[in-house]
Amino acid sequence: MIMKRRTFLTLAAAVPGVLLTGCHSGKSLLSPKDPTMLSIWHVYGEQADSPMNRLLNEFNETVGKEKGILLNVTNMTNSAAIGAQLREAQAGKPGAPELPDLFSAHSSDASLLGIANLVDWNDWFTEQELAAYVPGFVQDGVIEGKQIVFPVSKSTQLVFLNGSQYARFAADTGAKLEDLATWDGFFSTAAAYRQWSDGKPFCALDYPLRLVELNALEQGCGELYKGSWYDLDNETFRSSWMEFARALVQGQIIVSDLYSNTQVMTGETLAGLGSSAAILYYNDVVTYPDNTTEPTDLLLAPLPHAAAAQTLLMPQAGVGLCAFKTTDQKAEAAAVFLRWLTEEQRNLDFAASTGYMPVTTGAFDAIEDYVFQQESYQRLYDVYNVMRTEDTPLSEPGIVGYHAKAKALYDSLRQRQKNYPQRLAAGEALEDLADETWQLLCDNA
Amino acid sequence: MSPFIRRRQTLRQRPLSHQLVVAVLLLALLLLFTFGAALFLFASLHNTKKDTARSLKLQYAVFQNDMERYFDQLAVMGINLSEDMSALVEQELASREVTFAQLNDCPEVLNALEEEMIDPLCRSVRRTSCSGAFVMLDATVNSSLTGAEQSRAGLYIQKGGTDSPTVPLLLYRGNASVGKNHSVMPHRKWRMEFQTDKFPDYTRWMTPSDAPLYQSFFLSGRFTLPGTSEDVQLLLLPLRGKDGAMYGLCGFEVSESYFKQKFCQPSGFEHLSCLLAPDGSGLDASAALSSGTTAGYYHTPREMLVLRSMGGGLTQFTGADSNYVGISGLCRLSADQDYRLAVCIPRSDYRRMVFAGDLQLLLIALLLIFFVVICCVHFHRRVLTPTLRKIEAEKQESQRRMMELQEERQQMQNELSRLADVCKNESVSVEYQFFMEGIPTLTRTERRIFDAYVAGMRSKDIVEELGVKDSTLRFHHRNIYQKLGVTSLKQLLQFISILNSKDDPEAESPEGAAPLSEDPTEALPAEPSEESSADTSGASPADQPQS
Repeated sequence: MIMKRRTFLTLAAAVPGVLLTGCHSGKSLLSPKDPTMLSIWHVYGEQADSPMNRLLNEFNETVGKEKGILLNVTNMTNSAAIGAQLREAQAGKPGAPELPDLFSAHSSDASLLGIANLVDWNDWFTEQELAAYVPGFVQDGVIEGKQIVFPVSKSTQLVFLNGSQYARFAADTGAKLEDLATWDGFFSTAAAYRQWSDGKPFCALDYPLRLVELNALEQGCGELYKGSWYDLDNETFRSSWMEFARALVQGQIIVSDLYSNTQVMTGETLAGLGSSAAILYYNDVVTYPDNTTEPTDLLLAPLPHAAAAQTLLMPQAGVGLCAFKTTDQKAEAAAVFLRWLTEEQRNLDFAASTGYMPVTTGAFDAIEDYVFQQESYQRLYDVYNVMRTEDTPLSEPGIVGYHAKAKALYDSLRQRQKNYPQRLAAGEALEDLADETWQLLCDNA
Repeated sequence: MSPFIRRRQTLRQRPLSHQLVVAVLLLALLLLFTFGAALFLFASLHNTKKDTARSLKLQYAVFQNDMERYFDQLAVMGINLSEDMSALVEQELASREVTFAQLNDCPEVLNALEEEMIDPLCRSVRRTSCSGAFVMLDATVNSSLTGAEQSRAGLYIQKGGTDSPTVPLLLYRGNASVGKNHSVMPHRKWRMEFQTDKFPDYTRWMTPSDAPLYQSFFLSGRFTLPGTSEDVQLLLLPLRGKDGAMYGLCGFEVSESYFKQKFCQPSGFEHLSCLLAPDGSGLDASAALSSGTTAGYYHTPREMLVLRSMGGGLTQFTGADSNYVGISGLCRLSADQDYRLAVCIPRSDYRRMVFAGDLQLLLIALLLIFFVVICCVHFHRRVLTPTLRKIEAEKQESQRRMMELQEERQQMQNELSRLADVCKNESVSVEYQFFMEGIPTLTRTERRIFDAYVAGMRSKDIVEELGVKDSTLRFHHRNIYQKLGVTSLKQLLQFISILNSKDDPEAESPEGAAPLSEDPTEALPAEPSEESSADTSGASPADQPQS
């Protein structure tokens, strides 16, 4: 009788207890009944048909629905602007949007946000999992021993040319794409084009400083940086800068207004030199001021090199994905998304539709045999494959504050570059004007 | 010993009735508290369905108010834009002494017009809650080109990020150099002119009308901006000359992402969707602009949804892959254009909320039952059972004592019978003979007292019966003792017992069997032995009346 009473009492006490405390027993913190929501800022396809947005929708409809993860794009921007936007949001600047859970960023931008505020992906990925990614890309995202930036895609820099116009130019002047293999050939072609086109610049450069760096490094300049800027006493670096500066003040090249692709699309320049990912933004046609159009027939050439380069370098750029530390549930959801996003075939398809390099070793190797839907993409990856085999990848400098200084310099050059050819024509010395641009770089230190 | 234990012992030592009263009072208090708590909890509970309907109605009212005010303000800004831009066109045409029809194939004038229009257009787009603004002229810079009939000059400016006073502006359509001159950089998917074949219902909007501007604005259907993945709706107004000639169209862009950010609603619902869809038989979610909550993501339906009333003001929105519950109603956005507004949550969420409400009720009921059962069990174990056990034990003790008394009585009767037999069979003691002989010598009063003792009365009763004082009785006692040869009342009673036991039952009454006048020796038994006399002397006077 007593036993029965005790059993009853135990049950009476246990049943409400179980009902009240619930029955969570699994390891995962995710639940399809109570989805984890992640806001994301990214830079893939800003102002255009974004392949990343399509992937996010696919994820939300499939794995996200199954596991209880919902990704919501709250800002699409570009890699140059996202760092400042994140810092403004973090500082609570009036008018700034709320901080996202996931965001694209360079290592230097991530550092400025505070490493302690960001998720260390080593906590969510095993060494074995990370071993499936291209080691150099993984290493790019390591800050203070923590895997802060997760590789999603990597880009390099290429020369994009308006094929229709280039064909006429080449026919008239005998120019060859092979001439663009070296900077000397590049500048010669630029000079020839300016003459052929009655004063139009040949090429718009998105990241001229990076090109100057690579040219200097290929010439064996040694250490380039001093503090958070360049070593201004490095003669090779200065010499490299002056090569570009001379072309700039003669109006043969320009710093792009915002993106070099828009200057190619408007017929303002024949070529644009920028991220391989810019292919996403090139229209099918080039539209001239009289509204006449012609097919862009995009041509691509590898990044030029220094004439006497012993080691050919190719820039390796591209943001990765970072996450703010909030809850373990959100970090787990972000890790699930990253695994899904960088699955070999998906990563390959994503890279092939955006002009990036895939980040997993398998996808990276498979890009060589990938069948592309568009001719321009096929050309891009043909060039890519040549560069991969011949060049040594070089990551961007992870100097904190570098991008802001570079942007300030570009803004200064943009303001002045229109007047340089006129000033040159008015009798000012080429070297003086080139020195003036060097001074701008020095003033930015 | 702890105070608690002492207290418990004190309580246990109290009478059972007290213990029971205290325990019952405690139980009553506990149950009163439990039901009080339950009532408190019940009072805080509501009908989940009604609560959800009330909250959704509130969300709908807020969203409806947002929409009506927003599109009203957008229309005001649109009318101002149309008037300003029309004035600029007329001014430019007048200054150049050309007609509007002559703008075709006239890039200089068109560029000049764009130069004039771009600053006011930029100001307007910054002042207005929108994602972009445009002015499209019914003219093209080069009518000789293939597809020129669908190509129209103009400016289309977009905000290049989150809506803020410093947001950079981008030139989606228009002359790139004009844009650059005013720090409006070309959009990534820039084109110089509009393509009317990709403009929703272009011919319809371009139809001339005499209606005043405030009756001439429309909200276009949702469409994807060419080259991008952005879905937008345009608030369209005619660009008309003073003579009513159509110069083109102008208006504002409301992109899906802008709408989503601008109209996200503060809400207690996690997955609230707010939709602005064209009026129709159902809710065409695929053609709707939508927003969610400020807290996060929302599931947007992307198909035609059938509306069905669920009662209580709620509507069910059902599609092939979607099932929502919410509120829907019509909203007038312009003179002859209605839109359907809907505020809804996934039906699975609704079911979960209702289930949670029901579960809460069930839990409270279970909790109540649990408390009541625990109280009763505790009361039973701690109070009732021990009390009943005590009662049972005392009952058994009483029975045992009763048995013992009966046994004693039986033994005494047996002893008396034995003594009587002894008296019958043995010679009567000298004292007893003297006693018997002395009875007739008693006076009347003494005889009455004696007979009273024979009848089994006690001294107290005799005092009351005769109406004499105790001292008088004691006086008579002494005389009786002297006459009967006894020394005490005890001895007197012993002899009376013997006397009674020797009498024939028919002549047992002392009054009848032994009249005062008769010879007492006839009834005298044989003289008792010393032993029997000693035995009888041990009887308690208190027991005598019983025997």
